[in-house]
Amino acid sequence: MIPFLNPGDEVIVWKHSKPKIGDIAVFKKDNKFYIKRVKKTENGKYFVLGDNEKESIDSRKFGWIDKKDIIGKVIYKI
Amino acid sequence: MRQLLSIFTRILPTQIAYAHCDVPCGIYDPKPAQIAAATVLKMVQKINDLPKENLTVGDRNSFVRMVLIKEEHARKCKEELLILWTDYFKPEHILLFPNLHEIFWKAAKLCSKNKQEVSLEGAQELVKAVDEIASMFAKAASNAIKTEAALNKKSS
Repeated sequence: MIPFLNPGDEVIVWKHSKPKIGDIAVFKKDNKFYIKRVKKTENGKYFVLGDNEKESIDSRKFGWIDKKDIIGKVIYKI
Repeated sequence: MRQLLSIFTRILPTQIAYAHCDVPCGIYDPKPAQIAAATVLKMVQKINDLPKENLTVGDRNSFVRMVLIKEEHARKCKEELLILWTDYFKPEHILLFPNLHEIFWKAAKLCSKNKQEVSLEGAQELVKAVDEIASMFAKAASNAIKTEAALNKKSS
């Protein structure tokens, strides 16, 4: 998620509303939390991309994310 | 405000969220693996150079330290190789290097072997295996630059 986020950066996540296109979403996949930017939404699913598209492993590899797996959206980077 | 929020993150439970890009994004280098492999070889040479009999306390201390360093760098070598194997090399690289997976698998096995043994031959094999991976990396990187240049030329 470089250049917006670097390893060790801290963010505040708002869990009470779902992210929109362009927001940074935190979601759960395979028992781990991931953080990516929402590119598209369709039928309650999210297509997410890393900002460093060239190196990012994201929905292009692991597919659309279910609404139920979305934890929230980033509202502040500390 | 930023400081206050930073304090809160230290008190309240926080979770790590992965961006799924490594160390940091876009930066891959076989050099750390090569240095680690060279260190393993060096430690094997130094262990073999220690006296075989009548070891002093100093010799025993050196032996323990050398074994620990060998162990640590064999582990580090494997870790660096796994990053290159799983994160840098993509499916399309198989076209360039049909034996890519086997090469990495054998190199990873050599890392383990060098932890288990003190073998000059084993350490030399590890260095050679990692150098082969470094050559593949250089070729893949060079290929990527040429492809990008060709695409840029086409679009301009």
